[in-house]
Amino acid sequence: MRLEFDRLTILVAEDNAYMRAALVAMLEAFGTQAIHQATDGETALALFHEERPDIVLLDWEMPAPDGLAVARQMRDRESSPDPFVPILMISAHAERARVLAARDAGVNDYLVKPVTPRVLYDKLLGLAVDQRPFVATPGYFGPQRPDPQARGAREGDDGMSAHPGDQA
Amino acid sequence: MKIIPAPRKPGDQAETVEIVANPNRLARKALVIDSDYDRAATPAISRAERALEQVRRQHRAQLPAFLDRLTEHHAAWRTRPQARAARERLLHAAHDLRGCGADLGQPLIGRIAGSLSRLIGFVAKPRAALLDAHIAALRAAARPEAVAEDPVAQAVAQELEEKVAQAIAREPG
Repeated sequence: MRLEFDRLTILVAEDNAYMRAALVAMLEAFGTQAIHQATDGETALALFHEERPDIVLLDWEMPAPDGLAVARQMRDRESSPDPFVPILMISAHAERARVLAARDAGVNDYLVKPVTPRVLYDKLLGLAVDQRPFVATPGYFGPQRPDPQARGAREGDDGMSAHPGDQA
Repeated sequence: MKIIPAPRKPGDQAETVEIVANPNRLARKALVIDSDYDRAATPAISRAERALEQVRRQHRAQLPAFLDRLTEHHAAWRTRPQARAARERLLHAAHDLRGCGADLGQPLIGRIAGSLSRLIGFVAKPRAALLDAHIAALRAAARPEAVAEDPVAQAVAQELEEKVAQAIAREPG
């Protein structure tokens, strides 16, 4: 199983110059040429509307609106050009509450910095393999989240494929 | 498809939940199902590791500039501790260092910056002395002769983290 990266358009929203350059360098090495870069939430949303990326890599801490707010707007079925777009949240924050907040904003997966090529590759592949249906409730639209009270649910199961610290 | 699950406990309002099929445009566009994971992944990841190392080399030289910016934001906030924008700028600079310190071969800087960003992010009125201690520790860690694995350096970082944890624990709520 593999992704044809050369066919993808990817939006990288990251205000830190080093991290942005690192992400872009890795994506180019994977084969993606159509990479759009934003250094703040407003530009990220504008590029999302204009370029219709196949994947969004979203930093949490950005000049307003932050990554969390951007994810919510991308998931807004009334205004978003693609509310199903796969979103990978990238953050230096490893706290569990942060991961859950990102999940509740509708992101597909969460990646803690520093980002290694292998983990990034596998996460991107994972976005394509992710077959979870989407769920709409009055306060949420995004990938289905496991019900922690459901039979068989594991403690800490939050619907993300990896928790902070899991990365290689 | 719409489903209405039962309330979880008496008194809860039932919530309408709509299940929507995921069109998975990404998979349809670029996912190839075959057994070639390693054949595709290994060279791509190797290329990415080389590209990443080049980016690291280019940016490693900029770490002192990151620290200078952090110090400037710290000084600005100390003169106007009520200024929310100054606090945000300092938090942002600390967060940046936290995110890239380890990646740029400066794990100690990343660790101390992480402690600083927790202090600013979770403590409403952090003590000036504790802020100053973080800045001083960061500058010391950035010295050419500093060694991240040095036990004293590690102990200083741990001490700072513990002080921050205590400060966070004292926060109301």
